[in-house]
Amino acid sequence: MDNSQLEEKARNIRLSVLDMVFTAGSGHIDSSFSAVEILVALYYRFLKFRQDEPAWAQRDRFILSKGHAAPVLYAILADLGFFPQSDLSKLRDVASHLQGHPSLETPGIDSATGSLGQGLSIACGIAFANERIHRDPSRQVYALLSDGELNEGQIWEAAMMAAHFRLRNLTAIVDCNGLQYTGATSVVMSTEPLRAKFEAFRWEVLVVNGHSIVELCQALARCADATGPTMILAKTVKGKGVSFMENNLEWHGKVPTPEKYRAARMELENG
Amino acid sequence: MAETTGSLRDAFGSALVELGAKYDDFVVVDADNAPATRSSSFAERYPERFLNVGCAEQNMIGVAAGIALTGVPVIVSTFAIFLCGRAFEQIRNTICRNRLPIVLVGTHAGITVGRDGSSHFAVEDVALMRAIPGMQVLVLSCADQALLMLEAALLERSPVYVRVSRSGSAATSEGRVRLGGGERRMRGTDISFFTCGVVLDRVSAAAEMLAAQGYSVDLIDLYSVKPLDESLVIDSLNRTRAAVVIEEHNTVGGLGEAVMALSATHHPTPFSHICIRETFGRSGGPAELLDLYGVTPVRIAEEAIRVISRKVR
Repeated sequence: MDNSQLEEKARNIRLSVLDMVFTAGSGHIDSSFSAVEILVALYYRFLKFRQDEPAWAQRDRFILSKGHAAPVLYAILADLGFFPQSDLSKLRDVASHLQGHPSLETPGIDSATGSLGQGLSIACGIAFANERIHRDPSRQVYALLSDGELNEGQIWEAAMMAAHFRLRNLTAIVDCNGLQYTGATSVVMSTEPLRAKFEAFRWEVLVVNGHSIVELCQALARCADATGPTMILAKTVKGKGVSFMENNLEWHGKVPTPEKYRAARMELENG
Repeated sequence: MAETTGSLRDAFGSALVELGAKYDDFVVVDADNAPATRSSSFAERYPERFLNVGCAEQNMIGVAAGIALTGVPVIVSTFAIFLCGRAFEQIRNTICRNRLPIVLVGTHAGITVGRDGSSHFAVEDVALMRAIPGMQVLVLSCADQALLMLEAALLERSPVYVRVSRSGSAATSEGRVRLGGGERRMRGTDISFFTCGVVLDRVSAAAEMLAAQGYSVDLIDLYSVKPLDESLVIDSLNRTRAAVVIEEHNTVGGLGEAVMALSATHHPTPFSHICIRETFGRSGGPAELLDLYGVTPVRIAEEAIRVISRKVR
């Protein structure tokens, strides 16, 4: 897929996320929207997997540490054929495998997540095993974190470890949308300066526009030559794609009314 | 009573090495504690199968989970309170929700850690681990059980907590060790003694005292706290109709409450519960501490007689 096709894919994934959360009456649209291009770039350009063999041992792995963005991941996994598209209308339904936060019940999910701060550790464990136990440097592991999640101390334990063991096949991405549940990250608990922090933790740091497929792909391609763990700080907009959701704290975990749903859908269709 | 030999942490350390020779697929993960937990023996013998993540228990659990997610079984060990306490939510959300093949060994459990004092004790660990859905709980009662217990836990290929004391017991065993199992060490009809862990020595001494007074004790080592050997417990209660449960743990959520709940629903029986009651403990010698908190053969025997008098005819 070329870049414009990936951008089109991103638009369709947003529509899918909107539909599934609206139908479910529950879920995090805005947190999902800021992560769309990141996940599209990963899944349609970089990740190595087999949808007919989700447990393929040599696959690349992806840990959605920012677990509440599950709708994006589910939309992509369905689109890629890990499970039927029709399952998406059953997000968070009691009879559905599509849990509110990722679980191993869903084909294509590499770990249960949801409790913020834990995913980078999991990714470190996978990277360590790939390199030192399975001795297969071709296996990559990626983790997507939220900026608010960086408040959690465990993230920094994992960051220390990744650098200490020079886990070069590990790439972490932070979806830096500047907001967390109770307010702007700069107001609630500032994590800046992020680039300096991760560099001080001895990671290679790249900063990109998190909604630019071009920039994301360039950054992800550079990770192949890394000598240690790589951190991509992706500058994003929470709620990206729907004007009244963008950068609006009100929309954290909020489900649109039918009227707002139609308005959002129209914007995305015409965007 | 003098401190007994046969340190359980030493037994764990040796068993881990033996297990490593028998099974070549698992790795061991530590959080800067290997010399104390004795997983250092494994580290020396199999350095390529050992990972120390430094003093970071929450990361340790996530890392262990990551390793296990690639198909490699893991044995994690550190002090019980740090493992079960500090990393409780990680164990629950990352190991147990994923139902991973991980054995969690909590060493320095109970109060018999001794001189380090209460910050390093654990009187809550069994309760914490029991409460997690799907987690199984084993308690090492004597050195002979160590290899069998670790092996049984490893072969479950799902989360198992194994509680190990720093101190030891003189008890020996030739019994099998299995999840949901228990070992009857004395057969009797007057009173049931249910116990696990290093206090087994004191419980055995109490049973000897009672035997000298003409009582016969049904002494059961319930080394599998979750799941309990229900048929063994009920069989014992059927014979004796009075019981004492003794553990090196708080009143809440440990072996005592597990057995008493089973009794209440299947075979209502008068019970006495001897344990480390609502205290974190303090610095002291292991034997002194058990004496201080009333886990003594004399008291166990006295309680037994008291419960026998409450038997429902």
